[in-house]
Amino acid sequence: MDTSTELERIWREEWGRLLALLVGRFRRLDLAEDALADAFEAAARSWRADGIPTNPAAWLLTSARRRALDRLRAEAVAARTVPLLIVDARTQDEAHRAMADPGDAPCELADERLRLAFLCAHPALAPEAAAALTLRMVLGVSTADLARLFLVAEPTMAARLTRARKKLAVAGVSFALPAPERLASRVAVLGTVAYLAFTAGYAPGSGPDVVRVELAGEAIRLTRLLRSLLASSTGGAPVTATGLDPLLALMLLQHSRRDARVDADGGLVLLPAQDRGRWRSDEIAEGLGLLRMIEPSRLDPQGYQLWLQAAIAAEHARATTPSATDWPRIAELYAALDRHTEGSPVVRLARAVAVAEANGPLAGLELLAGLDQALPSSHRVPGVRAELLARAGLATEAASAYEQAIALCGNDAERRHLIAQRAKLGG
Amino acid sequence: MKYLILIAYPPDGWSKASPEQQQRWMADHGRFHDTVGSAILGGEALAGPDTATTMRHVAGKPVLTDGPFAETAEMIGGFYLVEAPDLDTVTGWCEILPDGYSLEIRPCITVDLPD
Amino acid sequence: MATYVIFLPGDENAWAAATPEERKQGYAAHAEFARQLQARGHQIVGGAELTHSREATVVRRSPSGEGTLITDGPFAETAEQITGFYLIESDDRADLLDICADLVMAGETVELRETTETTDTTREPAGSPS
Repeated sequence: MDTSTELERIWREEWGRLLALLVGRFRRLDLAEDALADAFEAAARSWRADGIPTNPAAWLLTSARRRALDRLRAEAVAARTVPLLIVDARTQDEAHRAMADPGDAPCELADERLRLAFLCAHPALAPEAAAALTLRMVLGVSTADLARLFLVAEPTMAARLTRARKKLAVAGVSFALPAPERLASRVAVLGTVAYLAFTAGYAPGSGPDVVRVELAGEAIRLTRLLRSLLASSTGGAPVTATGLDPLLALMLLQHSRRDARVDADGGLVLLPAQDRGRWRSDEIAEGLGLLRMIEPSRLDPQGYQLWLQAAIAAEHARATTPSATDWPRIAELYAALDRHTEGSPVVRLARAVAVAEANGPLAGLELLAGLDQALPSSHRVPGVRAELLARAGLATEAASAYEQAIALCGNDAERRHLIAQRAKLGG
Repeated sequence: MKYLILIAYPPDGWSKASPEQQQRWMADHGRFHDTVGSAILGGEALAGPDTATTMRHVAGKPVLTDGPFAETAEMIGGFYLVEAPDLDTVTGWCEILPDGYSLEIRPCITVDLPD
Repeated sequence: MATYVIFLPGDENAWAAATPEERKQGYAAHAEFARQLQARGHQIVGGAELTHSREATVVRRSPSGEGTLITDGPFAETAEQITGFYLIESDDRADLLDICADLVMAGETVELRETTETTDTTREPAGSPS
């Protein structure tokens, strides 16, 4: 077996679980993380020479534990001032037990990933810091990759992670599952964090890529993992196990179109022009299946909002051709979302597009009123207006709206699209 | 751990409230005291910001000005100092306090005051 | 006898970047402050040094009106943040301010606030919401 492929697989599957055990034992995120990363590096060298051990996870845990202890001894004096995470005695004992003889009970290493996720996606952290930290800790996404995915320099991302780790310890966030009465609201925070990572990957405001597929994919992986961990740890209690369903459905349905959103030259392909044969039908089926199982009236406000968005994505996914799209139904869902988000300008803009499809460009243009003030730096408002004006046959007005949109647009692929559209006017 | 809960609210919040509303808020503080009990290490209600005096070092002298150090939409109107095992315990207690507050929870560093 | 709160607002980043020597001087000024208070008949009855405001957590009523919303803090993005406080019993406000002046000369900013008597039910409790 190829060592590096196998290591990569183990990293993906075991990182979060092993890290959680180390955090339970050593009560320090930085120490646990460095020790585990070092252990993986050591594994890359040693396994290549000696072959892959029979129990790779146990090997890694033992190696990481030894490295953490070495490091603690080396920093003995300075470490006294390092704030420790609050970990209850039982969790510490379990971590000790798992580490004492990891080879003996290979399948029994406790799964503390949920605890780790609730720790990292704590509302005391700013959402963007929580999102990066959760991807780093639970999934093992490297700092360099996080920097690239969130469009910041690597030192900036490293500093953001360091500050977040420190805050969790200094502010006294405990490495524990939330109290039952708070479980629902904390699951909602997990969802927010996963969705933030997803949207950061899906609709970058600037930069060369239309979609950073990997980040969106990692967000889906996180949501799936959390959902299954919640279901097994709470016996599928309604509020927790289903709390992430609308989110996962929405992500799957949007993500299923990723291959069709970008053309061969990296240009943006809008929904009507997409080759629907390139949509991932398995993901669509899974998303639609999830949606069928959701009872929207039982969702909390955040869940209901996600459900509305997922229902809109589902309407698009169901249409085999653009002309088969049920625009009146989509306009209806957007109207509900508009009410629910109390006039969010982004939602209003999307609603205007749907209404234009259902009732004509003039009806859509009416809904754009006031949006320029609400979103002064967005290229999307003039972009949509330009398109609707063009469809209404008002080429001069459309051209000037395109100019405005092109001037504001920061995404290379989208700007190319706008320029191409303007060129088509009157042509 | 020791935490300071800073309580902030709009300056005219209390004076504009109805007697019933004021009663309810008092009752909320009563419930906070009942629930948190001996974990409350201290707590004070502050007189209005018009009674505040701020002193700064300006050009080699201590200079007095009227009013609080920062002009903010919400003023600090009081605080509780509590002892708690973790942050979630404190945010749980905060939910008992009147719902118009903005509460800032700050962990304390232990200061050894000389005798 | 009245109870006063002394808030210590300041530039947290300057303190975080302070050298060990500067920190020692800072703590010495507070030790001297405490000595002066005691010698001149004021009593420190409480106080704490606070962690950096980025370690703060804010609890507010959620926008939907139901339940609370927990976010990262602080609640006000002001240039100066409260770095600590003293609770002092005193019957000589003027002398208390004189002692504060020494602390101010050592680099602190001080906000002096009176507390309300909690036994007097005609006044506000520990904070009153809108």
